[in-house]
Amino acid sequence: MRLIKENSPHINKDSSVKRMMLDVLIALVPVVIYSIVQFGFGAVSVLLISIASMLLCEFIFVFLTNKKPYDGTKQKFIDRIKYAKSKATINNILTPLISAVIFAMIMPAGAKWYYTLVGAVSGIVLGKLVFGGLGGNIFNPAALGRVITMVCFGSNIAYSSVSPLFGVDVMSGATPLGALANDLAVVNFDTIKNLFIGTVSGSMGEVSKICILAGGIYLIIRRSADFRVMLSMILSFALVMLFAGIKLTDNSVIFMLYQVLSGGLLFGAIFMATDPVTSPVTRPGRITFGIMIGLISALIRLVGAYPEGVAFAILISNMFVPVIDYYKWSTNKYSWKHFLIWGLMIAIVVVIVIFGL
Amino acid sequence: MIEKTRGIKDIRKLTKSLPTIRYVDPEYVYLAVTNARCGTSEIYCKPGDYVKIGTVIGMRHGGYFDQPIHSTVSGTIVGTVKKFHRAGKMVDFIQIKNDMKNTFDESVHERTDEEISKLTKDEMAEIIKNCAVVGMGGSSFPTYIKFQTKDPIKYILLNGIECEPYLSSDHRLMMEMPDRIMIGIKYCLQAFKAEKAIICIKKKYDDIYEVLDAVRQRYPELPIEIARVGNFYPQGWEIAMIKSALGIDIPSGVLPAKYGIMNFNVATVVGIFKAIKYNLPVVKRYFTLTGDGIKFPQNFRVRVGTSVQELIKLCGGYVDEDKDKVFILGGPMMGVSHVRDDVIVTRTVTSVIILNHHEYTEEPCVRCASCVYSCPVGLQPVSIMNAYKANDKDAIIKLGVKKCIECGLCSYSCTSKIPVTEYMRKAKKLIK
Repeated sequence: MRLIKENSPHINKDSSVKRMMLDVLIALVPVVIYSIVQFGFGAVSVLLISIASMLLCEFIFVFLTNKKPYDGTKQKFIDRIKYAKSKATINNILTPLISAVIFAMIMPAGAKWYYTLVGAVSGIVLGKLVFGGLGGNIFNPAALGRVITMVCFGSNIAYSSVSPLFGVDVMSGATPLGALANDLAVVNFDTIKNLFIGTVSGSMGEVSKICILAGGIYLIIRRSADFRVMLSMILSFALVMLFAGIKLTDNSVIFMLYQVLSGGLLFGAIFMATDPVTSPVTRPGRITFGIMIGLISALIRLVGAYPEGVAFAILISNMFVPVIDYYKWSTNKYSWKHFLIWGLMIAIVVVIVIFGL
Repeated sequence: MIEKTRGIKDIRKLTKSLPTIRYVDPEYVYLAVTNARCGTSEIYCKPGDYVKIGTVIGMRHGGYFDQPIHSTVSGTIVGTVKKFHRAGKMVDFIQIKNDMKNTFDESVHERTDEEISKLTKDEMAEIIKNCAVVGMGGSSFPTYIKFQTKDPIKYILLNGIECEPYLSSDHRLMMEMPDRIMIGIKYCLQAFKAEKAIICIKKKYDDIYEVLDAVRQRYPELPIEIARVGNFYPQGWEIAMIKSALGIDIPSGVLPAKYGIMNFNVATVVGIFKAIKYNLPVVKRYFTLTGDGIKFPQNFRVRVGTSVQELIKLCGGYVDEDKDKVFILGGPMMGVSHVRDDVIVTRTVTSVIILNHHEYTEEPCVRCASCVYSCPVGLQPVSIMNAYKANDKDAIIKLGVKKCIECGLCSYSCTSKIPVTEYMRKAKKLIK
């Protein structure tokens, strides 16, 4: 028996990164099941390609970064692979798995295989691995991959599917947001209901709001994601949309609900914006971050060229994280300054929306 | 998890309801020649001298105060041996062979209540100084310096919270010697002319509350209140305790005395009682020996100067001798680990905790911010850690690492098992 010298504290909380990651995966399960049920093989293929390519990239990264110290003999390739395998931890499997599932869920079902491949590989390599793997990344890998496919292939990605679950051809070709751009008159209570249940076209995981909310509630109960980011993002977005609705339509509440429930806003708020690695570390900072995503995605939807802007908004806000966390003003205590900044941010966007539309 | 960590899994139930074992007559006692606050000393006696309980056998010299060393048993001085002090240093200890007769020194005498009621604060400070009463919660700050404050004191707060898990020595003290605490409070109230005294205990401990409340009825003239404060860690930190008990927010770096508040540990108050009533220094104390690495966790009433090795034997020794252990003096959150169990119970050692060693692998920080959410001072440990790694002194100073109380919550709550508290200490050293 030895007495070990260690620094205080000598006890640790029963929590781990692994548990947080597993929770996110569990929260994603309903969304994944729904997407497979609704979109069938198209969903499975996107999911599998995305998972396989991201895991492979992560393993190549582990292989390249873990080299046995040179001991005079040339190492065989197979030995190096074995060594890398021994160095890979559970985090090298779980984190790319989460990124891959989230990335697949924001892709349209039945996207051509090389769209998915390009998006997944560029997402994890440019978004995460070039920064040094887990914990070092600035950008959300899934959002980056999605934006790259959007920019590269753009209009080639068609949202079309026949739902095996509901047997109806759900607004073939056009997503709800695409439809909205054409005609504001389609918005009524039934559309809202359909949006909520998920009998609409759209990206694989983004259609069923019930499943997304169930995952979100699980994450909040398990404390594996920060509710501040989710709430501030959704609320600020809803507020801007309420004002835009007053300007554009007769029934602004329906318009607001439509905007909140359509597209990837809820999915982005619950699964992407809450990624702790790419969000600030303080409570007020996280609220600022959430408000920023909400406002930018509202602006992109209302005045931008793309019908959907959550992925862009998340990437843009990711770039602001070091600024929000800058030591000269970051604090973990709420003060009137924070409320002033949040109010100003929302007010500016509301003014843009009211006078710009 | 991304949340504020407040409660720590409480493992005090290992020992809190066990009766205390009296182990007050060890064969040898060992008295430290120097300690953490007093670097130098002189010894007045030589091997072979006969000493009694309370005899001054030396004088420790601190930076701004002197502290007499009292013998805690009657017997003959054997010599000096090297043992470990609670600070982790090897220092000289005077070894005294106990003759088991428990004869008291001439200086030890009982003061009558009438005599005591005439004592002023300065006279009490003098008595306490001569009896070398120090903060028994672990700070070992000389109590007489607290008595010399010029600020008017309104409230006297008694810290019986003992917020660290595993520890139960103060718990047993309050359960078994509530009378001494009450009389100690009486003397403090008299000295400071304070309005009232508040005993702070954890809300969940009904047993302590019942005992203290019942004993309080015996002293109807004393303005004593019992505040049942929160169960969280670090509730025992004085600023958190004052905030919970009185609602006063004290900025860090300001003495509570400036706000009219004086706080003592409950064990210190018992020391004050002994010093004023009997002119007796602290010779016995409550001590907890617990943890999952020891066979029978136990509370002890021990003679100051007892070797912990004897107590471990009394507890049945270690569990699983082949497994590595961590030997902690103090609480598991802030205590110091030792590589030898050759440690002596000094006045300020509240407990020894022996835990089975767990090896954690450190994972990369995922910025989950549970350290930021948990920090009781409101710092951002993860930012300070990154600033330390970048050697950015400006950022470390601006992020306020000096306010850090090293409570250990950031390391405790870290999902990646990063020793964040250790980075805080390093950052403090860097900007020194």
